[in-house]
Amino acid sequence: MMLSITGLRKKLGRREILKGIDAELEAGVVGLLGANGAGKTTIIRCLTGIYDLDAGTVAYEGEDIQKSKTYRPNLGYLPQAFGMFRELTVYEMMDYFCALKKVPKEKRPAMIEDCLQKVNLEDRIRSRVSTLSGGMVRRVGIAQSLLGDARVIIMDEPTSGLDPQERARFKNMVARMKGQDKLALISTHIVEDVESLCDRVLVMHEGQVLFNGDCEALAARAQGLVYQVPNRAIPQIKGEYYEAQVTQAGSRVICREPQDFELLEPSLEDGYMAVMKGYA
Amino acid sequence: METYKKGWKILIRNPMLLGTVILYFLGFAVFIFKDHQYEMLYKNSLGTLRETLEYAMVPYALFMCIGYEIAVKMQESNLAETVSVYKSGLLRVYGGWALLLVTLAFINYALPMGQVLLIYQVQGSQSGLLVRHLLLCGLLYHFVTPCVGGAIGLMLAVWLKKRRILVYSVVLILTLLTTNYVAPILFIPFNITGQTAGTDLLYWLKDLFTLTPYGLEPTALPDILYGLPMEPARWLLALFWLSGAVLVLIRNAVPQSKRRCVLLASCLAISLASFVGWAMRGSVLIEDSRPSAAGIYDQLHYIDTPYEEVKPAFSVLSYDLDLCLYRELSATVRMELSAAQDDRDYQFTLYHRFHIGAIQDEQGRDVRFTREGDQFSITQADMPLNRKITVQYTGFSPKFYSNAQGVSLPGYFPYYPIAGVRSIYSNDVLSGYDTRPDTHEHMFWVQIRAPYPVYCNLNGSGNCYEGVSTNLSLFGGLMEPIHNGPWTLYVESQNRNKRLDEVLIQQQAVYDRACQRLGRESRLDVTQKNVFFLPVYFGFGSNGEKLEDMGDHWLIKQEMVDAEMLAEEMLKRPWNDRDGHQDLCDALCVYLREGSGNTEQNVDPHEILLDLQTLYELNVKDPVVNSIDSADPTVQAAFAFLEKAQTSTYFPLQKLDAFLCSDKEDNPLGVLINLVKEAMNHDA
Repeated sequence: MMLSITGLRKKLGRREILKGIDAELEAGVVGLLGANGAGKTTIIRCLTGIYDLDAGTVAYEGEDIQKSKTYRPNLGYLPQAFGMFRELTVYEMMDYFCALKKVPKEKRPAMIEDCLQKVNLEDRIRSRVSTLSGGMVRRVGIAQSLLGDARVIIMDEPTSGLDPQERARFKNMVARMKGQDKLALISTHIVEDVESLCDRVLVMHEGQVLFNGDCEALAARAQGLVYQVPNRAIPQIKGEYYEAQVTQAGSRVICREPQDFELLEPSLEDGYMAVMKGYA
Repeated sequence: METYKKGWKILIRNPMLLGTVILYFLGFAVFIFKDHQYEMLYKNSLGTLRETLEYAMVPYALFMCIGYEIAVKMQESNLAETVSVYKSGLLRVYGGWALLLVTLAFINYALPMGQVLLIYQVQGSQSGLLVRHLLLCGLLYHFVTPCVGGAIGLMLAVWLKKRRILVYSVVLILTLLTTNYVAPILFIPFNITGQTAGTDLLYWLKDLFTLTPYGLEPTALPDILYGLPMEPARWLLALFWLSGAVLVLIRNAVPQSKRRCVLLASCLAISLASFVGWAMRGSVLIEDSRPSAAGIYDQLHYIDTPYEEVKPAFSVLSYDLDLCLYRELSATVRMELSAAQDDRDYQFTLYHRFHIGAIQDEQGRDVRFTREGDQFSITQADMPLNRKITVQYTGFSPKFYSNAQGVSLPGYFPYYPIAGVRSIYSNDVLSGYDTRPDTHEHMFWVQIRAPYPVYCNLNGSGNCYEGVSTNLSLFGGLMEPIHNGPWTLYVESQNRNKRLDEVLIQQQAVYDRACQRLGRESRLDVTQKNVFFLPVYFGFGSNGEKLEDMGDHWLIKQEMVDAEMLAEEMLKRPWNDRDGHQDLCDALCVYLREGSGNTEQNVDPHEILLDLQTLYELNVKDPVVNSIDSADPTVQAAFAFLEKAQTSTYFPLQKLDAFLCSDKEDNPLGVLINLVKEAMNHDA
């Protein structure tokens, strides 16, 4: 088990943000899914050691991350808001991160080039950071999280600001990480990204984990709850419901109770909403 | 080191930061070297140092700004969160910034010290004490203070982040607090209540922020001879701020752990200890406009404390002084007294800011005494039978400092108990310290514990002295003795190579010659006693005295190293300083100094008399506008005539000399006219 989270609690000010999180994270790609304010960034900051834990433990390969000497050297992190010194070049900035990660000097040039290649920025290696677009900065951020051959890579909203081509490239990069002995934890509120990237998913809501399992199981949670309802028949729906998608032909609705409408095969998003709404 | 090197790249590639740094150093270089020829001419390394420190608050403020702008990039670049994940990531980044600021501060130190040391070399003093003083003074204010500014800037970035308006407001306030511009605010309590306590408290708080030696007004320059950089309190203050800034940085940069707790606790301990050490600073020399400043405190204190002098009913036969000079003066003084006349109380004068801890007899039993202001007294009944008492006291004078870096205690100042009630300071027309030395002789044994040599008018060495004298003067700090046979001069270190002995010999010759011309007996001899050349800003009183005859030694102000001016001071000692008399005194001194003394020269007394009468009429109409210029040709011609008129039986210049010594209120020009007439009649 790469990361074990046990009874994790965290308060910020007077508000309890994390209310007892338990999770076991193995190597692979794990999505951290939740609405804004669910506690995703807080849990990430606890896992990266930025926040101290009020209660509970986080263990890396069985050792508390506060005491482990191997955790930080193996950790790569891309925060939600990432930036760099505008005066430096991309190479110098990556070198800066290598220095902070204590990557040996002789290994740096090759490592930097390799990481930048993965995000398709090798041709901007000598460019000043001030000349990069927002999306390019984000890609450099992704690249720096891979430095030092990190085994635990935590990314908060990594695709934010990326164009479709780069999103596809990012997905390919993550896909290549599967099968390696690495854990990639990707926090996002975009279900589509989780669906295409992740093996497992944690669904968080108001500081608690509502679901921890693979994507198929999450989708299956909405089995028998998703209906195609003609728009004019919406008022006839019995009990609580959620309109997942509205078209002219009709609405895709997730219902708490069985209905007399056409049942649909649930998607990951359906399963997510069913769990969030408490229908499943 | 890597974060340090990258820091340089960031600085160099940032036009605003680089431009600011370059402009500052260029401007500083121009400021330092603009008067280079003048400095080379006057060869005064201490003065050169003082000039370089005149605007020390500028680099202090600038380094705060640079430190802030560099460190806030972490917030502006959204890098702080990324970097904090790495082991000691933030600490290493801040450390790189700090090292960069230290490097800039070193350049800030090297620039002025280059010139100061060059002037020192040219000056030829060859004084290790002086070099050490120059280097340390520069280190404190050209290096450490900017480092503190930089550390505060880093701290502001961590604490206030991108709130620039607030940050620069803080920078402005911190900078202003090092200057005298805030004085009007600090004086509000005094102006409202008339009491000094509130204003002194506000100044004390201001001192906590005053990391530079000067305000923007050059009149606030303190006495560099005093030592300035060696005062422990100034280093402790810098340490307090540095450790405080580091504490904030560690709290932000180091994640919660045992190591963090230890680091924070250490910083806090250092910070608190530094603060306490600074707060209990004891004797320090402060020369700004606060009520407790060196030049003001006694003036204010003695406004409403007049008292009558009382001749002592007894005399002190011997003093055995054990003095300790560290934070302030701590003294144990054993005295043997003669019997008091007429059953009067034993009254002593001891400066009121020396607090008496105890008075004991030889067996260690407490002796009852009463203390009021500068006086303390012991009744006949309470005085031990053998009249031997030990007085223990501690304290300091705001003006006559006594601490771990220097001491300036002239013999006329009652820093040890003096018999009788005598004035220390008077606020009459001729306000100032009473510089009359004691006239009775006492046996002195003195032992001084201080981290530097203390020089005294008695015989001895190694801070142990003994001998018979009327008073005891103690001086030390940036001062060295020059032995010339039995005669010793104690001079400012940077004047070691100046032949001050020759100056004094020449001075004596000028004085003797002038006395002869005046028909006066030459009673003063500066070559027969040791001489203490005192700090540049040392003022005996406020009467403008330049030298004092202390019986067995002289005190001479350092600036008075011109033989003729010194001789003039000796000459003028018996003359009053009243208006009118003063003008004529000065004119006569100019004549004696520059006049040829050639009595064979022919002068027409009638013309002189006419000119004098015209001058007299003008002077009567408006003494202010028509006061005598010291080089007034009419007056000078009159002196020349009077000197020519001197014969073995008739001395007009002597009569004039006697008039100037008297309390008569005749118009001096009128007296001069009468003397010219008398001389004309006599000739006739």
